[in-house]
Amino acid sequence: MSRHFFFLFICCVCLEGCTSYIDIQQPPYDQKIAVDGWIESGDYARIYLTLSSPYLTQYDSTSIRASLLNYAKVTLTSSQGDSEILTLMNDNSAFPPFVYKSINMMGEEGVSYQLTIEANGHVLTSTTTIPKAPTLMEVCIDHQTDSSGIVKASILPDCQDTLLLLLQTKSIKADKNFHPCIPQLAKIGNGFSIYAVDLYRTSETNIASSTSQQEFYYRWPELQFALQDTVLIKIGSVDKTSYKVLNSIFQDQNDRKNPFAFNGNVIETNITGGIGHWTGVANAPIKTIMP
Amino acid sequence: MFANRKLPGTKLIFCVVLLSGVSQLSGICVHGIISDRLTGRRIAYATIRNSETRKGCVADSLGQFELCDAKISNLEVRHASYKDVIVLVNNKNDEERTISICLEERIQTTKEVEVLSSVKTIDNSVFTGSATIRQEDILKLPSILGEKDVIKAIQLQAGVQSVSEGMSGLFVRGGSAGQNLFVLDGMELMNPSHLMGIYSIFNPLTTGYLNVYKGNAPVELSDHLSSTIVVKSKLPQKGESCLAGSIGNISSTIALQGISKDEKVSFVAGFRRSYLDVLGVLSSVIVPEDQNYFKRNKYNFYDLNGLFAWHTSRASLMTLGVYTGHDCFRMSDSQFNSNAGTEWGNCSVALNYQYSPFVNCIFKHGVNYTSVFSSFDGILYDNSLQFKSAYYKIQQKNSLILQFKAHSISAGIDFFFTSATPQKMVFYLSGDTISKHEVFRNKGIVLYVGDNLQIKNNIELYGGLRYTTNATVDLCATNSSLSPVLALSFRLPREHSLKVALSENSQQVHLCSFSSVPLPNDIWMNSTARLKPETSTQLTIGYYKKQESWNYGIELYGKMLRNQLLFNLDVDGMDDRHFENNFYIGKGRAFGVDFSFHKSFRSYSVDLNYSFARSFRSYPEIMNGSWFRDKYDRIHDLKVQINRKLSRKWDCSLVWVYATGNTTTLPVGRWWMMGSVMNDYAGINNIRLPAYHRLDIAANYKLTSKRFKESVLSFSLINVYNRSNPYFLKYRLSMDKNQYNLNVNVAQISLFPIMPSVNWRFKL
Repeated sequence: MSRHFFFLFICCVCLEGCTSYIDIQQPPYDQKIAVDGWIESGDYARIYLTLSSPYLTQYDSTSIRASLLNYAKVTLTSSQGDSEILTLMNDNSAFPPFVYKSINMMGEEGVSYQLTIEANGHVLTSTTTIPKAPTLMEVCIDHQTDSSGIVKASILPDCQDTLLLLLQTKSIKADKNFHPCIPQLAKIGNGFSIYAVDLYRTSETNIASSTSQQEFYYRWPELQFALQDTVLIKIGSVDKTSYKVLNSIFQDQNDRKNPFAFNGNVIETNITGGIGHWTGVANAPIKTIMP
Repeated sequence: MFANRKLPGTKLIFCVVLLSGVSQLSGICVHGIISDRLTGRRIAYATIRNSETRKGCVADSLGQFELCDAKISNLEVRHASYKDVIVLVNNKNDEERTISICLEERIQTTKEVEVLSSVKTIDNSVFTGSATIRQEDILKLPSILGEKDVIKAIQLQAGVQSVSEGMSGLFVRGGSAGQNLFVLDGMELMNPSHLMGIYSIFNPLTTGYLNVYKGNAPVELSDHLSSTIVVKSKLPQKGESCLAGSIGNISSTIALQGISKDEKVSFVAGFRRSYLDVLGVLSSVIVPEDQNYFKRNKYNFYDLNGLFAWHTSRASLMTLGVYTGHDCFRMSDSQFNSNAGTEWGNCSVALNYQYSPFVNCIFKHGVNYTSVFSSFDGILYDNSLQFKSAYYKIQQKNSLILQFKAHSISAGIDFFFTSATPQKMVFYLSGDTISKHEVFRNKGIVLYVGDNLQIKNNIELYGGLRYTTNATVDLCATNSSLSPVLALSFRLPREHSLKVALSENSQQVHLCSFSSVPLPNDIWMNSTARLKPETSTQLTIGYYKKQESWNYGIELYGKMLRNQLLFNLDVDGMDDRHFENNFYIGKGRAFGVDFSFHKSFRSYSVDLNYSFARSFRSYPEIMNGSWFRDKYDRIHDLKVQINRKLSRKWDCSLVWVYATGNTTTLPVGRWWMMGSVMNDYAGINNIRLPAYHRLDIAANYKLTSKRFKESVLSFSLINVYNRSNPYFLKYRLSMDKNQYNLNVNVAQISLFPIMPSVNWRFKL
């Protein structure tokens, strides 16, 4: 966090220079199947499939549809021997607006789940495990101004093992779905008595919207929640492989605004034959902060 | 017994010299000291020649010489500033071998001499890739915002990248910014830049000359991997005491130099300061506070340097050098409730003493201290960060130089102590305070010996060995390295020459950059058990041709770099508490060809320097250790410089540079995750930015003045054709959710548009 703070300053310095838009030639690129897959404890599996696109091409309403993969066969198998072919459904709350969802199988703590995707003559596989859920002790809002603040959460560490956490929030005023906040992930060793973490607001997606002025937080302090908002807190634990994959994805996302950053520029994946992630999450009960 | 006789065409005055004891059968060696007849001051670099055999030598910097020959009866002694003399040598007494020669100053009345052109020599050393740049060369160049710059002159050399604005460092032959050793009057300076790399810290008015070694250097200077840049201040000669100054658009310089009547004490001192902050105050009269850029953003820098020299006796010299410099930059924005600033600077002092107990032998002792610091503090909303880093080094140096008939031997032992505080951080975030403070202390010894051997008249060999042992004070880890240096020079008929140099260098400190470009806030870090010293092996082969008015040189080089560091922003969890764990450690390789050409005409000169270079890096944790292009892998780098003297009052210069664009990392694909667009990469530094090219011109006009010894107006135009050169790229995703349109815009950030400037330089 301190480094990002420093980079913000450096970027401001540089952006005082001259800016001009230029054309860069797109490097050669082979399209890949991208997986955005989740299975949470007590919930159904959700898999969003897309085809990746060359970076510098423009999406329009036609080409964006071509990036959606809604003709795959997706099979979910658990370590307990259960198996199910997932069903394609509409999901207007997310993008892409199609999701492969399980109808019978729900996530359980301590169970591994294998995903098999067959599409375009390719077979993709991946396995994840839902670990033990963390214990979320308390959440509250810490006032930063008269009308805004940040969320403070207290988590009880696991005395046996390191907890790898995925931290998500959902603003009733601004968001349709839960999404990672800042920090997106946390690692808690077993040396803590109680681990306290501050949760900062982020926008639901990383895309600058042309309709942003109509959004609730358009003129609100960055990173802070409005006291008049209702905020839902969802904190879950993930396994080591998922943590590594998600960490590389979020790190790249964080560095995107910093042209000077160098993080190795490698995004990890646990999908064999494709890109993306397949993540099992054991969530603590969702907590709500009311106005 | 003695005798003098006049050289043809000269008025000869000579001193009494008693000389005896020279064997004529087995050959004799004559030792001597040459001094000024009136002041007694030693005269450096006079030439001494045996009249009969034509064999000769040059006196050293303390005026001492030794000449050995089968028979010596007459010695011709010449110096440009003194009258020539012939000393008759009496050989009766075999035991007396030392003579004292006094020269009388040459006073010559003539018409004004106009220097129309001069020839630069490319090969003036046994080492390949070495060059000397004088103050006159620096002052001719176009200036950025009215300030001439020493580093800009170095960047016009082949093998040194020509582009550095917005970056604080030099890139020499595939090396990185932290692999250059900058030495000013015996003081090592760690951060060589002002104003985010736009200016260097060297004051052009006090700089006499500088020597550049691109990778292969004598052992006493082989402390860093890529280059050694030795800057010498210009001490005044008799009658040169003056006050000089320079006034530019954003900064001004003043320099004072003086010499005592007996010429035993001399000094030079310079001070520079920017006045961008004054612009803020002035502009606030006409510009509203919230629109006043200079009021919201404050930038200042200053530096002070000086060299004091005292000839304590005829054979000894004591010097004291000092440097201190400081940059400060602050920005504030009431809209975001932010206030942030950064500072950095160097401070250095060196006390050196050299004496010559006997002829052709010089002892040098010195103590020097150098430190560099940087800090950052910022407030964003209610969060604040204070970050400081510091590094200091104390050295005690001892060296011996022995000059024999065919040998020039240098040996030395240095003791050093270094302390690095890479991060002293206090981060206040929403009521919580995170602090980090680590100090790494090292101590060590450097031993070296080198010999410059004249094998034949046309063959010269340099061999040297440098041993460094470096121990961490707190962690009980020791790193040792042995660095051999070999250089061979052949002078072929018809002014051709060939040189080969092979050296293995080791560097005990690392420059750690938080970002992909070097910034003034980069951190110096000691070698530790995990962060081993950086090492390199460089082989260079050079071919040179020299004619009366032109010369050229071609140099091929290849180098391997080991223990190269790259800052890792993605350190997992708790490991980043220890600064040592924040790095990828890898290797590098670089190779290329440098071509230099110089031609002098009657009233103008042309310099052309071209480099073809490649530079690669490999880190085990990145792309499974595959080699990838370095960020500063510029394939082509061309510099053209033309100086023209238009009249007695006007001269002008033109510099054009062309360089292949830097590499940068661009995602090749994108995919969706949770409604956001994610990147898909296919390697590092996989695309090139557009090429960099820029034309700068300058014109200097000498004003006629009775008040000033020199008064020159310099007009400069940087980036004449207003080329938007890339500094970096940024990408922006924008989407109209209702229409499902998604755009990726690539924007290029440039720093310098067309920039005129004027500068007035004077001497009182």
